[in-house]
Amino acid sequence: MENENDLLKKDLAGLEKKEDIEKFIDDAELLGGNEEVIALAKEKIDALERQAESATVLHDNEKSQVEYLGGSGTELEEKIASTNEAIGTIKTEATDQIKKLENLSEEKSSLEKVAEMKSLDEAASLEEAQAYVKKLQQEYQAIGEKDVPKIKEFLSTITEDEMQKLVKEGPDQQRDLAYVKEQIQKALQSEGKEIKGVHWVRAVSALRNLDRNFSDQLEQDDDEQTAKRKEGYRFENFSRSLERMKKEGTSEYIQNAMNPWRSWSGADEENDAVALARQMGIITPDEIKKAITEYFDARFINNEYPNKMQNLLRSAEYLLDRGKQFGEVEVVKENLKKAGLTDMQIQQAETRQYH
Amino acid sequence: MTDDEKKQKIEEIYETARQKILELEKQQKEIIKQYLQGLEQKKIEALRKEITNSF
Repeated sequence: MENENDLLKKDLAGLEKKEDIEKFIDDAELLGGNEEVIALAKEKIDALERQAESATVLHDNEKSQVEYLGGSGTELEEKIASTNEAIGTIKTEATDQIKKLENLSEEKSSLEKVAEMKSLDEAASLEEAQAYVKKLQQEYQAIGEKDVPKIKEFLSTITEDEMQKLVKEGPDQQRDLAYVKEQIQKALQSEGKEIKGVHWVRAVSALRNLDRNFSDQLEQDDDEQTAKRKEGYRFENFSRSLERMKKEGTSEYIQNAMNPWRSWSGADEENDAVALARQMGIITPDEIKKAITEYFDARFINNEYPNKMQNLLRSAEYLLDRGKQFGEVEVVKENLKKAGLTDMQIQQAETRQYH
Repeated sequence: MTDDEKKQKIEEIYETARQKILELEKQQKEIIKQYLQGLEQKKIEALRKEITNSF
């Protein structure tokens, strides 16, 4: 006996026009998963339609009676107009409610999927990524608010000198004291709950970066919370990067992310965002290829500045890293070659022999 | 919401709407009945007058 897939394949094989195939795929997707619910919804909507029609139309015997008794069909129609309208409203409302339920399965499964997601990498669409970000922001905010008294307590127990020492000896120099203070200040001044939460979390994370031992004083934090914060950052950066891509144009944004001489602050996160956007199909490999080529054209091929080759050699390693991150390392190699590097030099950069 | 819950909810929505429409249909039949009775009454009156006048 043929199964459903065989039957679908058979139907599909009989279609020739592109529009027909697309419609077939749409219909097949619509029927997937909750067929029974869709069938029941259709049956009930049809039944309501029939009932409403029968209830609002004057039947032949009624019409002939009116005619026999010398009345007017129009007059009678006017008398029953309000009940007809009420029947129409009930039918429309019930149909809408049923249709909503019919669609609920898809929405729900998407929400369930987002709830189960462990990282942004699992998002299959921009909508899922946004829903995941929203979910994280809510958790993130809750953590930020919880930390407020701890930050205050911490700040009251530490001297300016000790803080400076932590900044200097901290294993991660990404954040400095001014940044921490700025975030705390912003959090104190913020009125919006969400903005306030973000500043607190940034401040906590920045403080934690100043010294790993600090976490013992701050709280007995667990790995899950730390992971959430990290993911929150990545997320925040990703959302911001998408906004910038929209504003500046994808090509400009990627070229900016390629530039090894720009500030290192946040650079890795931005490169992550390009890689993530590519993975999610928000930007295509062709767009990345075009942006990389334009970057090389402007900086190393059509530009005649004196230290071009020297800079190219110094940047090759970084550029190859970015290429790997964006999934387009061959495009970078091709452009490095076009800009004047030999195969040997490219290989050396790739194996980090300049280090 | 599971598929079974959804099916149950669809049945509930349908049944509620069906009952409401039935109720309105009943009201409508009553309006039609009254209209027809009114016409009938008028016709009877007219016939009565016609008979009276013929004497």
